[in-house]
Amino acid sequence: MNKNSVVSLVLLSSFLGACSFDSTDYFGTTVPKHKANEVWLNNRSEPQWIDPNKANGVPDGHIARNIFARLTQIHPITSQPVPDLAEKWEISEDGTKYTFYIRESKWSDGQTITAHDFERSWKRLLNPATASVYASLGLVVKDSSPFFNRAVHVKGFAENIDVDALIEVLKEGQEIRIDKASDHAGLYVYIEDNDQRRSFIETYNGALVNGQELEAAITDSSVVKAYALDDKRFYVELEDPVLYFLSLIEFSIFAPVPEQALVRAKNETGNEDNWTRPEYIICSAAHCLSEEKFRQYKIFIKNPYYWDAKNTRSDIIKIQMVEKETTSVNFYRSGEYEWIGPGELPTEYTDTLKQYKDYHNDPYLGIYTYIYNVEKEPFTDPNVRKALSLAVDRDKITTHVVTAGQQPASDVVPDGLTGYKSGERKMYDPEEARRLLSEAGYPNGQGFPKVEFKYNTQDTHRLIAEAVQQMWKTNLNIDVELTNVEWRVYLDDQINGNFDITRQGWIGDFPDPYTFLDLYMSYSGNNHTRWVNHKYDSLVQEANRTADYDVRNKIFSEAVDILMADAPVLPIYIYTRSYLKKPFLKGFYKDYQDHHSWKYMWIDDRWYNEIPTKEIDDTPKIGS
Amino acid sequence: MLKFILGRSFGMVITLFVIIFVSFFVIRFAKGSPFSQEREVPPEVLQDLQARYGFDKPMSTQFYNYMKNIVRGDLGLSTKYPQRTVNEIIAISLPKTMVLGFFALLWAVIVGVTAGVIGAVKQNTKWDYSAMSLAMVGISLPSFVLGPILILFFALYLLWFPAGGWGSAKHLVLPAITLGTIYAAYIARLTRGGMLEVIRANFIRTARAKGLKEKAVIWKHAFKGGILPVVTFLGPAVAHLMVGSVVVEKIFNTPGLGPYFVDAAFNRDYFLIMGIVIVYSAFLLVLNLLVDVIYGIIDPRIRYE
Repeated sequence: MNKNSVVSLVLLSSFLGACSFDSTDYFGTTVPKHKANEVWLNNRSEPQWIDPNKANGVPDGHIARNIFARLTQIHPITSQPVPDLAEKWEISEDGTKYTFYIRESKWSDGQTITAHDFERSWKRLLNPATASVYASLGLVVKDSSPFFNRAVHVKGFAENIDVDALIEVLKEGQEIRIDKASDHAGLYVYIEDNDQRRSFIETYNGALVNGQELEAAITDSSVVKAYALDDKRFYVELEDPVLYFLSLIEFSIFAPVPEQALVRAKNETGNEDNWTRPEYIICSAAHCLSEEKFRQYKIFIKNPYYWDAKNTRSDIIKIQMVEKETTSVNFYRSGEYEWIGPGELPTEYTDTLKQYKDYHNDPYLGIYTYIYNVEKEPFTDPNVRKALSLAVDRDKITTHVVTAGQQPASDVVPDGLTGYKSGERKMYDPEEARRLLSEAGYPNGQGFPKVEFKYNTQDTHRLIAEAVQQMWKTNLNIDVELTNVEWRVYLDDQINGNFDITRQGWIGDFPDPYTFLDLYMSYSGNNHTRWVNHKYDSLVQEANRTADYDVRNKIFSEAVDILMADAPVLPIYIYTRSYLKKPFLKGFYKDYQDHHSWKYMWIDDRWYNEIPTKEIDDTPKIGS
Repeated sequence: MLKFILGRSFGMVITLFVIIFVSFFVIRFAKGSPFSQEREVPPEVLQDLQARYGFDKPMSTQFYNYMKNIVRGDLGLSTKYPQRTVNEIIAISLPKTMVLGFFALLWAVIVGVTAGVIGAVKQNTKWDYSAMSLAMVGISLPSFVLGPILILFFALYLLWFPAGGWGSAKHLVLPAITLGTIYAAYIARLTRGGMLEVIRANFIRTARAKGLKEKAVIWKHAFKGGILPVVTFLGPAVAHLMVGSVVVEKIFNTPGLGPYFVDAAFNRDYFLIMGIVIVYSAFLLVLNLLVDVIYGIIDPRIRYE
């Protein structure tokens, strides 16, 4: 290195030092680029749907939740459901019948929100033609299943006939599911294939069977037990006393949609889906969409008609769509928004970002697991699954591989969820693992077939897999091959059972243990392990019929004991959500589901104007 | 000339059809579905989604319908952004990419040609060496390195330009430089090579012998001939720049067409992929033709009969 280049290096470094504009406490600028009545946030991705009934995934939910109100809302501090569009509600003794009293509230076009809006929207959600991916969460409503599954509704026969004989006739010796309607209003015949269903209807509609003239048609929405009693009262009947119902209906899909906007969009553009464009949209929550630029930003303005508008803190919310993780960090740093958005920070940045005061890390309702395909050798043997699970040292993974404060998991349900107590289990025991493996016929790993671990291409998954691969090698002397596949292929392989071991992350849809336990029900479409245990199924079902939290959690624990003893799944850690948030963004509360309401958010301009103040009051206000 | 253009155009239509045919089936036979996600999609819902896009029909019918729609200028619906047609997505994104591409090209041509001419005229001097060393750096520096370096200096430390996004002339500077630099480097080397070849030619010696000023010799006589290899290079380069760069547009969060090349494929957004393929191929074919035509105009030795 000659003299000149040394000089220029010195110059360069002093230049960099002098130009570094940010304080050492915070990452990037600490003054917003906009007026104090605006809040700028990142949404990560352009949403697929902001239609609340169809919202699918995090970027959709983040927007839909904040512009379409539901019956209830989750209180940001207590995490309990509190009234939103419903002023109050009555629940029947057995916990299955709800009457919601709709409060005096208006759409953003000034029209009144009525119970009929709710009935229409819930039925729209449950209509298979709406093709809402999350609609199945609505199946807790009584008699929604035949409508959602387009079952054939057979009726017209007298009440006093032998219904079982009739069912036998209709089945024609085939395996068809036929349910009796709850109010004796006929039978529901479930036929999946469109052509078969059509010919079934042609055969039986108007046909004389056992002396009865039948009517057969595809079930219509009138059977669904969710309807308006009058303008102000919305009635819902459930299959079981769903204890988490008031939290469940906080999910954006249960929001009412404005019929008038849908009709207008359909008339003017020929496509109803266009109703969420700024020209047509009508909202029901604190803010409403006013301007959008595809894949750039969306601007939302305060909705003066929202019933609680007096507590809406900011006039304008600007949402940007910055997808790439590293780019989103650059944008945050240069002050393009105050919150980096729902989603993850780049793993490789964690250790650097941790030093700053605007780095936050909150618990998150999600679990990272490995699952075995129990239909594939050698994982058909529970001892093999247990051996592999006991050979994984989770503590090492959460201290050396993922470092954002994730907690090692010994249960498939996060501890403390609605009072659920995670079981105490010995999770790492290489001695026992070796013993189980030799019991299964593979002493010291000898003769263990070649198996493959499949994961979707991402660095975090690879790093964890490499650590686990090493643990299996050291503790059990078995070789596991790592294969990474692209996201869509990974999903396909899971659905079709084309894997030996794979990773599965699951984010809870609602704050209740059932959202995680449903994954291992024998009939669940999300049960990729293919594990079938009828005792487990019936315990979980029993728990769901229980109207008492303590009893319910106890039954859940019993079910989890069965699950863990059979080990189709290896829980690894409970997720955390780490994010960056500017210090002057207030009204932003920790949330287990990473849901953050815009209506509470505000910019504390005293913070960056360095006006000394006493402690500010940053508690959320609802109503009054 | 007209006959040449017509003949080529006919060939282009055939080529485009073959491209569409092959891509359509390749993408459709790739594993994975546009509708699958971590949470199970209920079978009834899946049926309706498939029907909405016509994916429930036999493949040959789907191709026939697709071709029919293309002829009418309808590129179909996106599955990732189900409220938008592929036409709309391209109409929103392509102009932004083209603006960015234009400025990248401008940067590339101005810097590249200047450096190339200097290199050729002052051959084997320190001017030549520094211009060509810079060009070498430009060629070897991938945009995913250059982009973040520029962001770090000019956006995060100096705060001269935004770290990315879209909206004003300022937003264009960093991505255009990132995108254009590698082309500038190529153009510099091509210009220098082309010029050197021409400068040694007899007609230049004649021009000098006539007593023309050096400026006139270089710009009026040598430049026209020396620039030919650059023109050849510009055809595909323009096509490439006009449909955007996956890397640069991702790094700078430019809402252009570039990211779709990867994202649409990952999302199995069949019609969007096809739309992008068609746009890109059409650009490439048309620009190649244009280059051949310009060739005939610049170089008196080339004539199309």
